[in-house]
Amino acid sequence: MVTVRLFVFLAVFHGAASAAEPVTFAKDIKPIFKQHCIGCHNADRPRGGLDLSTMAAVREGGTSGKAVVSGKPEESLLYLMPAHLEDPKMPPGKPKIPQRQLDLIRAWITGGLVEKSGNAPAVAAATGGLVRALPLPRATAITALAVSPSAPLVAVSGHKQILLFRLPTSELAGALPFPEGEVHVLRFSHDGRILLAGGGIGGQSGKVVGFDTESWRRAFEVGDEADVVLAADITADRSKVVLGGPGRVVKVFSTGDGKQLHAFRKPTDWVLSTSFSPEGLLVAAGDRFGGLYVWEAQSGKEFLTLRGHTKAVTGIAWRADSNAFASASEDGTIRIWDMHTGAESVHWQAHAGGVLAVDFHSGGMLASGGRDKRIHVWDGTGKRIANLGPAGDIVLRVGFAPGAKEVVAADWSGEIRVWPVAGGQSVKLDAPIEAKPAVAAVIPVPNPTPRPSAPAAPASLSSLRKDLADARQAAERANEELAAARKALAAAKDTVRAAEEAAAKARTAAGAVAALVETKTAQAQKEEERVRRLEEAIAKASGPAAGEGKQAALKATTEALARLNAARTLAPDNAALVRAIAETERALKELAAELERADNNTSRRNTRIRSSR
Amino acid sequence: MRFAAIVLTVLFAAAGRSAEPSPVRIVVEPDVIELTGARDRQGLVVQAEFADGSTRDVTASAEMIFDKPVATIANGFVAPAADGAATLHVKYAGHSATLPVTVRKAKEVEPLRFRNDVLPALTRAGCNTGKCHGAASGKDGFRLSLFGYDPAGDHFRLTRELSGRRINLAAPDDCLLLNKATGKVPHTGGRRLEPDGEGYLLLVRWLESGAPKDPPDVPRPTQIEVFPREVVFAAKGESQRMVVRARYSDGSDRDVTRFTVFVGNNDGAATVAEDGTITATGAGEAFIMARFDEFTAGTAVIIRPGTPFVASPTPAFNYVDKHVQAKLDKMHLVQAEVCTDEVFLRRAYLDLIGLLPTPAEREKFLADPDPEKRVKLVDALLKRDEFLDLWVMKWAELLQIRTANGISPKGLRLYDRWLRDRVRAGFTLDRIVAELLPAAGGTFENPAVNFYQTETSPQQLAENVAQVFLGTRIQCAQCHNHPFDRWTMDDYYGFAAFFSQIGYKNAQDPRELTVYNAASGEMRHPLGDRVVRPRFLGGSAPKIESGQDYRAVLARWLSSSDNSRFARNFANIAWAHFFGRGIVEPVDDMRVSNPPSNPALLAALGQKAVEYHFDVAKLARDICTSRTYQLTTRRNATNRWDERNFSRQSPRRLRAEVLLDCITQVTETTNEFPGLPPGSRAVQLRDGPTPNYFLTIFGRSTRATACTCEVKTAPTLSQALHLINGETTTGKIAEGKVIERLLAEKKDAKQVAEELYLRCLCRKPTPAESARIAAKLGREPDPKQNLEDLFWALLNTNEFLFNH
Repeated sequence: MVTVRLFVFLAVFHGAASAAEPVTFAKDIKPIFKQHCIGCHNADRPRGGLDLSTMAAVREGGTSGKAVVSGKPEESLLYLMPAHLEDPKMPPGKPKIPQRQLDLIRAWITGGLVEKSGNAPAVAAATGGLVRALPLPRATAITALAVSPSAPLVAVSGHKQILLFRLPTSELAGALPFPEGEVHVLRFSHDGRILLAGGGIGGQSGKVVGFDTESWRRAFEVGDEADVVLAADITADRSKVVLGGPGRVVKVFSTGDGKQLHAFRKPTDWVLSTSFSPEGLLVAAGDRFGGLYVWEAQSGKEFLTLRGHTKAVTGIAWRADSNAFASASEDGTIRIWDMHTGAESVHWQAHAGGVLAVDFHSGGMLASGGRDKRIHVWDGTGKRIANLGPAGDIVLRVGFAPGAKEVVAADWSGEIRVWPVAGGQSVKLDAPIEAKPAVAAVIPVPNPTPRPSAPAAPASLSSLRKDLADARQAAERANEELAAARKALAAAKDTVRAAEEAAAKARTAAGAVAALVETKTAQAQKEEERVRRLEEAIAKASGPAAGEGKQAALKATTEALARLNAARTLAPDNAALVRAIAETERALKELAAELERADNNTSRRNTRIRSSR
Repeated sequence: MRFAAIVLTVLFAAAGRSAEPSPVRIVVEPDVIELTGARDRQGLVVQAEFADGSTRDVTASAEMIFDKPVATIANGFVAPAADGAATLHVKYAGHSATLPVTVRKAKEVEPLRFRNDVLPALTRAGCNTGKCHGAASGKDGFRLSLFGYDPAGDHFRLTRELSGRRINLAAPDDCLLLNKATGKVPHTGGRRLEPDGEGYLLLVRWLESGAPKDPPDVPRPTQIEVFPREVVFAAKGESQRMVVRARYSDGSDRDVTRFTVFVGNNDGAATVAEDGTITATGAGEAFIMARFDEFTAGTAVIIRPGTPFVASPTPAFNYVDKHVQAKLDKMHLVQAEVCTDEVFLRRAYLDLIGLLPTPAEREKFLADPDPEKRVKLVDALLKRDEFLDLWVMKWAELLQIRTANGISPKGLRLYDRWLRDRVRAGFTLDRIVAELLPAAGGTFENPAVNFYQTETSPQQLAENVAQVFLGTRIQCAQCHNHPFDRWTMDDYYGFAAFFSQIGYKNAQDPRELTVYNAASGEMRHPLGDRVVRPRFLGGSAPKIESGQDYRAVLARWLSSSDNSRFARNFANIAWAHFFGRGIVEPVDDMRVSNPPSNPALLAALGQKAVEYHFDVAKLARDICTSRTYQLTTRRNATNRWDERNFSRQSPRRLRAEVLLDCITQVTETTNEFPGLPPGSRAVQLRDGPTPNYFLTIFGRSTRATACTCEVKTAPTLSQALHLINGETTTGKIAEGKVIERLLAEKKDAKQVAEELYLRCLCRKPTPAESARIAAKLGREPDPKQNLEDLFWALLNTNEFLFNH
């Protein structure tokens, strides 16, 4: 029965896989690679020289040679290794990837390595536009914030969307969908014409999208990362985008054709911040280890390595003249770096516990926020102009409103506030929240089934069967002896002595039977042990097999019951026999119930398998 | 008719489980159940105990009934139904037990707490183990504290270290933490949580509640209890469920079995599954350790061989034998025979004075008709100076008396003399500690202060004192709570604080250093940098007057009678000397997860140690006159596999110093050691690293650390080669001219051969050996060469190299 169900599943799969649409790299295969392979086989640090992030790279293969042979999965390591038909088995040290996905890889290779189907919808380049914001079930940390330099607009991260607020009314203008995942960085281009959004799905994918702020359509998409994009920026002329993230590589892309121009591998830890100089000649990036680097954006040459921060560099903001930039760090300092001298010109303690964000206004003022829940405004030398706050939680992002009369700051609790630099009431920007009614927060407590300490029921039952057969025989023999005794009694009715003799004879016989019982008991124990071992082996085998074992036990018990009933016709008022029958009937019932449970488990498991597929 | 009935009843009994004798009692644990809140559960363990001392898990088949419907029970788990109190009746095989059940807040769902709900789920999933995110530098950019020793730090790292990356309150079930844990996105550690499993849901619900920090008054676990406390499986194949209950600072308790990590120490005897089910896999003993939060507790498991066993009581010579025999009966082990006088003589000499008995001493002992002659021998040996030399050496090893850290040869000589004088003068260990720990002054003027020159950091000093005097290794707790013991970082730094006020200054003599009580200085906790006050290890925080020397306070507590660990450690060291392994082994690694093989024996010896004021001679007398010490090394059918219950003596290779002394003794030669008068024995060496090739390759302690593992008796190739070809055997045979002298005494070659046997092996050659020797000697006119070969061969035998 179970096998039949499984068969049906497989048939369904094959049906799906062999449907009219061909299996393509873009649609079917890349998501599989992303889920299981790209962590190691990526463009940045391809393990074994193999990069599985693009079709071209896949065709190229790795140090072991070609990864795929079109049309021949049996010769393609890309199929054989994950299918565990070839060593090393992939992914290393982990269970085999689901059969459904292996089938897809196989079908893709068999089908001739199609990259994408001709009629696949073109990338969302032309799509987009401002939509109504989807409310969140509850507020969450704001991971990205940008204030437009050309319009009274604030962009902040929402869950898989970008929220746009209008100033000074604080009204929510709409949202830009970001189905790629969470938004970790937002930047406006210097002229405000492009809103850059970077992010993705943690541990899986990352991307940067440029939105045209006129139409709110997607202008370009760059990057195809194996983890989220944590930092990104766009040049003033909108020709280049820089991005970085947990991959430890800073990449520069051309927005025109989406091609990668440079990859800087200097950072030793996650890239948390990166920014182009306003005139576009330099690009700076800071990492989680405290490393801070500057490259030439055009040539890709390394320009400076700046030492000073002792903890993660969380933010970089350039001065308008491009001759200096400010860096913020978890070490609590803000440092200003002079590009002419290549050295630090000034640093100061800005926020106890760490600075998490910094912005540099074209007027020369700096804004910063940090773990002390405060927002500070500084002049270019580190003299504090304003001390704002406290915010609701640690301040994650800050940005000057045009004119630098206000600072917009977002915090961990999800609050976005516009703080007047001169002091006074801050104004809250309300992200749409639609608290769902609280689910009955009852978490089921598992109730583990205790394992029986003694041999399992089927074992004792099947040995029971043997013993019952023996018992019947012994009972018959005893009955014969008894009959003989009766005969002797009848024959020697006249003399009591003769009868006593006969009774003595019967007693001796009973002694013999008792001895027999002892031997049988020992045998039964041995048998029980053997059956137990067998049962263990069965239990180790799959569930259905165990179910079959139980079926067999059920049958055996039924038979035992029949024999007991037969024995009862021989000795109708034998109390022990009656008890035995009652017990066996009960065992039978239990066994049937257990079988039903096992069957339920199987179907539950099957449902799980189905749903997981 | 009646016959048939009898037959059937008997057969039925044989067929079912009740073939064995019915239990003599049942034990239900825990014995009180208190449920608070709708999610609270409590597992029960019902254990049947049989007449032979074996136990069986009957939780599944016991009948359980409440007298009032305040709770429900399924699979041995009690769940709340309504507020109130009731009695639970447990019945099995004619035995019954009752336990009170109280239910409070049956309908209330308490808010989830990071420390008590989330962290246990992460620990149980294995997220914070040493090879995953619990590693010192984390894994793949994410670090958690090892086994959750730093809940506040873990909360920070999960929520705010990289805001927005790991958790997402707007989409709790779609955040990196859970996507990784369930394997939805690539995760090096694979799938750790089942979607919709309890651990997963705990995390989701906690995120939905805003991932709050715990309020400051959140109850902390204060201890855990593991049930059952003891398991005696009658045979392999049986299993037993475990239940772990945590008690909290607010007086509440919880069943934390499903958040507990179980580890067994002997899979050959018993394995433990993730859910805490123990399965017996073979005869022997295992300790199943349960770890929850910062606590470790465990259950001792005995698995009997399952073969018929008839206890064969042997006469107890003293209390030692009583405890050993009790354990052997429990394990179904039969003790070995008592050894012969010859064997005993050699064994006692080597163990007590580190020398071999001379043929004359042997003759006298064997001829003595006194039935108490073994006791007499022990008493006589205990009075010899060589006995004290051995123990000076042992204490010197533990105190690491060696030229290091700028200790001058003069300082060393004085330090050694200080210890030697005290031991010779009958100072017992408590008095030595009382002088040593609070020692102040110049290293020449008061040599005991050299202890504070050997090691100078408070942490290292605390570790050494704990290891040497309490047999406890607390090193792990310097950086994180000890994963296999009770020690937390608080314990570690509290203990180290006793050494935080030691002042050092130069003395007039440039070779001398002055140590004094600086009466200022603080120990700081690395988490939060707070000041830690001195606290006794596993004890209270003493009140210390300002200016009082912390070390004096510590010294008083250390050897006081209410610190049973000092006494047990002392007893264990003494025991290990005579058996080659401690009751706790390794000797200086007493921890929850490494329990004594015979707790009652260790306790009894510890108690005696206190009674004897830590006089090692008195304790050694008890041990050496016990029957257990006098057993042969021969194995019998039942104790073949036993290595830890002292069912027989074990052959022990002589330690390097004793071996050299014995070779020197039988060859009648002497050794020259730097700084010691000629004729000194190797056990009298002052300085740990004294250069000597023989001692080095035979594994003497260099005293570089306080670990008892410094003394090595494992065989190496160099040892074998050296004995075959090296100076110490052939050279000393030639140098000592023993054979020439014996031959000159007009002994014939056969007699000389016998004499060599008596010297080296303390026995006469067997007839077979004699025949072979005679055959060899008969062929050559000059027996000298052959006798030297025989001598050499004897020194190379295991019988010579080992005490047995």
